[in-house]
Amino acid sequence: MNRSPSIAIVGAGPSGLFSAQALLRAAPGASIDVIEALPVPFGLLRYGVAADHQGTKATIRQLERLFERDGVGFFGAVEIGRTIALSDLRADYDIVVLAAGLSGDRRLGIPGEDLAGVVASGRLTRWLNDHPDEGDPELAGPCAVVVGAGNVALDVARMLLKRGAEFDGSDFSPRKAALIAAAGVENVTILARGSAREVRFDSVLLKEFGRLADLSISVEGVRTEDADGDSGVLGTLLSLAQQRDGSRHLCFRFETVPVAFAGESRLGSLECTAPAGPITLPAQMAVTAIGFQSAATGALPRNLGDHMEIEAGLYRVGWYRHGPRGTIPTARLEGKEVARMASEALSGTAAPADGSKPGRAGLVRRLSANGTSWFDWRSCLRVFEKERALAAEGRVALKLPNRLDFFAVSGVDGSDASRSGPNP
Amino acid sequence: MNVLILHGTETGNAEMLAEEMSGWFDARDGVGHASLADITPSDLDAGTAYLIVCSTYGDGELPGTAKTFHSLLDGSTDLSGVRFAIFGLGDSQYQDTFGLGSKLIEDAMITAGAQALVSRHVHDASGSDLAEDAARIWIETVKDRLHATS
Ligand SMILES: Cc1cc2nc3c(=O)[nH]c(=O)nc-3n(C[C@H](O)[C@H](O)[C@H](O)COP(=O)(O)OP(=O)(O)OC[C@H]3O[C@@H](n4cnc5c(N)ncnc54)[C@H](O)[C@@H]3O)c2cc1C
Ligand SMILES: Cc1cc2nc3c(=O)[nH]c(=O)nc-3n(C[C@H](O)[C@H](O)[C@H](O)COP(=O)(O)O)c2cc1C
Repeated sequence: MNRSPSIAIVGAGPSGLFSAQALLRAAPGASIDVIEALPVPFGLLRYGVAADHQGTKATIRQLERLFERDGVGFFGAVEIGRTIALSDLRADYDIVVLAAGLSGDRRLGIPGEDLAGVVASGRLTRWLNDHPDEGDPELAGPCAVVVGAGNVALDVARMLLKRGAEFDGSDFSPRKAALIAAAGVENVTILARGSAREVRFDSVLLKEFGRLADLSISVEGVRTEDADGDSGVLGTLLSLAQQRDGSRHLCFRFETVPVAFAGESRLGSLECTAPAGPITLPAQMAVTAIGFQSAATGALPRNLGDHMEIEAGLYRVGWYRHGPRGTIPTARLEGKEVARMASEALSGTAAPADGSKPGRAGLVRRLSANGTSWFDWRSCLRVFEKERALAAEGRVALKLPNRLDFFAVSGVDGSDASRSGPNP
Repeated sequence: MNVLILHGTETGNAEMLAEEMSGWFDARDGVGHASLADITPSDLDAGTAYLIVCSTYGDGELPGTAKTFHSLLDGSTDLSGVRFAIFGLGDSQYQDTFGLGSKLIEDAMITAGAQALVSRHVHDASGSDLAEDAARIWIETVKDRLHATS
């Protein structure tokens, strides 16, 4: 072997970046590049994890070192499958790891889902996090229903119910906070199909509601036999529901199944069935938070099965591999696993690396040949610096909300900046 | 005098800090770093000072890589003569359980007879300072104690 092996990672979310981190150790001497469709890295750490959970987002500081100190290359605003073909990338790199996530919202599949006022949680949480491809959704009050009983549903409910100084220390856009306040969402119902026994909320997230000023909390559809002496998550929920007066209200409703979104030109209510019979919940706004699937517009192949190794030299990790299960810690463990497999492959007899592939130089050549400018790590740093400088009183940053701003701030040539954005 | 920096982590922040810390010692301190998952309490000896960097996860629980080490620190472990210091990572958004993971380790070490060189410090991920900056200050207090006693 006459050159060090080259590794390309597609997608700069937690699973891609933890893979890079583990590969640095498992394959010392390898040259590693991360290629990301968006201008800047960090995936759902930046565009999913809630804006008021800066402590969780702080894992970004650890991952920045890959580019800052460890010599990992960054190519932002380069979409594999669109800007560069996957086959070309594979021709240039000994190892390719696909870590492209899963951004499509799963649909409920009931009538009225396309009415104005119904929004999917992926779209809404990206908007709440200033993802550059998400414009303002329809926000309306006083009643909002969040369909789904996972942690994303809790994030959404909390962001809709917080006001003013409750966003201190976050990087939540003040303009968006004002839009939510102006929409006048006063009552949020979290709708769970399952029984209260089966709740799988993170109890720490639940307890956060107990700290919101001016919020009362109630539960509906909890069977008396379930409520008795429960000390787990349900116990936490029931003690929160003792809670007090407030001008805003949060209701957890169990064993209720949505059957139709109803309204003339826009959403007015949600028809449901419950053990006691059909019920109609008033709703000017509804958020479906029932999971994710591959986006219809995805540029990479789908449904390949879920083995980590697709074929020699090609691997996949994270939500791209196994669907929307797993958290930031599990992404780290997967990164270690894929690094072990890849380094074994590199040192094995059937090694995909004979040192003849050009790696980074090949990618740069292709990008230059098709006139694509990309965000390197220095361009990203200019973006982050600007975002900190734009922070309003009480906020730690204000994220740039659209692609053109990224190009303007970084000085990267944006004449073809719309290339991997949504259709205008 | 040997120094071994041990980390207990869920998402890697503590491991990164432990690595960073190991660069802050002189060669004469004979410093190394390792995961709590790769060591047992019976490996600890009186000739080495142990600096433990440990986060908190879940609802005030230990991070994944610290669990086994902690469970082995039961009533039968005798760590008398072992010296240690703990730097915790936490997040004050978890109001009721801030820094409890590193406290679990500290309590168990002390119960087993080990001696804390300095008091435990917990860095707050929601605070304004970086963990590295807080750790740099803390580590000076550790070094003062080490060099005073060795
Ligand atoms: C709203 C929300 C909140 C969450 N909150 C938490 C939390 O608080 N704690 C926690 O532990 N977990 C949380 N999670 C889960 C966590 O975010 C995921 O487990 C994790 O981000 C999965 O990582 P990933 O790298 O597989 O995907 P992603 O983070 O989605 O990263 C994939 C990256 O690939 C890029 N990409 C896609 N296609 C291409 C292409 N063709 N070419 C190049 N790049 C491409 C994307 O732009 C993206 O940056 C949350 C998830 C969501 C949706
Ligand atoms: C799901 C989750 C639960 C957490 N629970 C606590 C907690 O109870 N108390 C605390 O002080 N910090 C808590 N934290 C904060 C972590 O300790 C902090 O983010 C730390 O930097 C993680 O370090 P690590 O990457 O080494 O595990 C929690 C973080 C997450 C993401």
